[in-house]
Amino acid sequence: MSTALLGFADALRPDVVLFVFVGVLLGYFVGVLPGLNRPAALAIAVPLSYYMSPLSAIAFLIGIAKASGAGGATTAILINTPGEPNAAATALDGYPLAKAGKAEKALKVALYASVAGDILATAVLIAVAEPLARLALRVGPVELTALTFLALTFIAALSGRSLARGFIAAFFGILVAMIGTDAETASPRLTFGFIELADGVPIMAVTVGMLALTEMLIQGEEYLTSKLDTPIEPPTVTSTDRQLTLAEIKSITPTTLVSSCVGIVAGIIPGLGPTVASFLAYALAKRWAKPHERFGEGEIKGVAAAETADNAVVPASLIPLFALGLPGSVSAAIIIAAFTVHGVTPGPRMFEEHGRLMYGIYGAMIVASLLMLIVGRVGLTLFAKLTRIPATVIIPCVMAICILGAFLETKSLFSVWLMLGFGILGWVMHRFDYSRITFLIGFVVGPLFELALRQSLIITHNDPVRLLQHPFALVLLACALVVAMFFTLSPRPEGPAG
Amino acid sequence: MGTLIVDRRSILLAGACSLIAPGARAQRLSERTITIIVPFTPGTGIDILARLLGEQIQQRWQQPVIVENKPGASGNIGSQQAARADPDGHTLLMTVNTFVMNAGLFKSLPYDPQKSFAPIIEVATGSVALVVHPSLPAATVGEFVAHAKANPDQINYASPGRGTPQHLAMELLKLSAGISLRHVPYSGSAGAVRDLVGGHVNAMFLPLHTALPLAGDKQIRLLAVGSAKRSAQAPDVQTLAEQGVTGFDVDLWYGLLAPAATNPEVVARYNKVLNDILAQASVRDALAKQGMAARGGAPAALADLIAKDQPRWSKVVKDAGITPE
Repeated sequence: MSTALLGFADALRPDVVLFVFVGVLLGYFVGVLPGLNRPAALAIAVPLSYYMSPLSAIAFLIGIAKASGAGGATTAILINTPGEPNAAATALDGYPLAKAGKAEKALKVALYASVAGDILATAVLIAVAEPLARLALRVGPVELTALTFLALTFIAALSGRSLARGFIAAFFGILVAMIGTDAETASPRLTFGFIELADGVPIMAVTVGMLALTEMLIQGEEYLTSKLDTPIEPPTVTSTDRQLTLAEIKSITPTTLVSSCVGIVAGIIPGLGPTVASFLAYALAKRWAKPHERFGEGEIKGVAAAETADNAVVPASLIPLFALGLPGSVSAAIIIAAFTVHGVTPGPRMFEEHGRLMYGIYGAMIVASLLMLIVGRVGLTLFAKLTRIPATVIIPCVMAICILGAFLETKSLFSVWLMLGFGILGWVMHRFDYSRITFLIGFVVGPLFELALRQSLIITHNDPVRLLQHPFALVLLACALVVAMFFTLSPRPEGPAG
Repeated sequence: MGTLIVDRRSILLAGACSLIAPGARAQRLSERTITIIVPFTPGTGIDILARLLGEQIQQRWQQPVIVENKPGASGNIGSQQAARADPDGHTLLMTVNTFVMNAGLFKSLPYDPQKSFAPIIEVATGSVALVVHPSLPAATVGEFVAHAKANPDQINYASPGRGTPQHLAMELLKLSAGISLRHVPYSGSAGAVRDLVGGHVNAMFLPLHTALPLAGDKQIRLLAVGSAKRSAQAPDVQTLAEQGVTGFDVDLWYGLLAPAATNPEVVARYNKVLNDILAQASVRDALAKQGMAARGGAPAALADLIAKDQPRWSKVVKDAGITPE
């Protein structure tokens, strides 16, 4: 017990708090800027952490990882440009809220939901890391395939206003995701001889192009046709548009709790990741919406669901690391590297060998959550002012950010051209009412599902009878069928506009 | 790609030693920035290795050195860019075995491993280990091979992806031992290791430093190392050759190269400074702790290694029936 107390006290040391603060600040910045993603920021920060004490170093990196999720929501809400692909689901309702003059409210929901998801997942990590990690180990490729299938039945709710067009858009998303190298045979697929496409279409080129650039094209078109230079936010913004009422906080609390669970599960099981988690949480919230709640048109529950799940993934992905020494994500793998640099071998014995340090890290994770709240609160007040900038300024600025974001991911102009292409494709889809969101979901989930499915076929020797050796997968598949039948028979809620 | 980890104190010590190198400014190439292209993502072992050496060169020469990650196509994109860079000594390539393995795996490679570059130095080697899930009834390589022969095509093995050194190492073992195993490809190491520990796959080759802690916790069983000699990191673990798989010699080697037409005098200057850096006890210790052996040596030694390894791996790819892209 005294070790735990000493550890938690260490987390309040000025140097530790300072480095967590710097990490949170950096992470927030990385999250805001499209193209700079979490793993890249961590990898660049690892060498800096060599010069810190072990606790400060790990706390610094965890601060970056945590805050980048919260920062990603800012541009998703304000300019429909997710700072990270994970924040794409946040834009679904966040951006309509901003357009309706409720940017500050949406940013507050995103921040509080992010911190809530983060704290809940951190609490789960501290309380039950090992049993959960052991349980998660039972999920192999076969179970992951079934689980992704189950997730897809929920996500199908996001198919837009027309089911058929939703499916067509998702199909094209999957088709674009097929571009690259076949995982099993290593033969190139649809690369047209471009070596740049060997690893597939870069994700930022697609998300930034389809969401942000398309949005700017739509706004530019509206501006040119109306010739009116109107700010995105109407001039009359009341205090109720800015503030979050107690009733609203109460209404989003159940969504936050459910979405935290989604994020935690997605974090523990590598492969699903934060983007799937946020879309799934959003889809669940939409499925359970009350009749007056208009998802896709500025519903705060949508922002809360996506942000909670996205941020719950980060601490949850550390569960396999702290409990078993296994990385739950690329970010976790980089944190393992930092642990080893400081003489700590990740694994079950970390608490026996470095108990005080580990409790210190837990303490620092809580400190990071609180600092996220402060940094985010100051940040949103500043960022909310962006909405007062006129369209003639914001459109070229966002377009420049889009180009920068696409370039930063691969440091190649090829990605910029791709991003521009996807921006135009998004505009065409918008004109013909095809959902860009289902396209993105197909693009993100398609490859995960394909890899897990093909691994499952190898493991089961293409023999359905061998599925009997995977009872958990069968239960998940049965659940998926029940859910699919339930949704087919029950009335469909309206989807967000593409 | 394995993750290279370096000890913090060693880095600080190494940094401090190199700060006082006399005449540093006189040795440097120019005022301009040196770029080390790493054809893999940030955070991978090779990336951290490049950053460590880059920092050492910067401190010794007082010349800025940056690491630029150019991932994609199994390292081909970054290697292509380095091959086409100005041969003025300001753009280098840090690479790993896949550099030569790709020659057999791709129908058309955007560079020639032997002609497009001027080798500078072999920086380090890393051991790979054959590991299995504890549920597999095999405590030695002999038992593993016997079990595989008794159950052809029933044992599956994971790799971080098709054409990775870990994949080709297992294909070589299959050919050498005459066994048939099923390959389950993953997208990176994390999922593969996790599914091995979870028992969803039975075996794989892992970088030794990743395998050791997991084996220590009895989450996996370590059968042998792939290199010709035992690793200083795990001297008790026998090699595959010692356990009867003759001629098996697989490790990860990391090398630094410059574009082909780079002035030999510039190559020699790099070679000298890197030999000095790699001779430092602190740097060697930092690498050894992670199952990595600091190498060094003449540019010709790396050239020989590339010339020897390229046909060797092309033969494995061909014999294993892996169709080139």
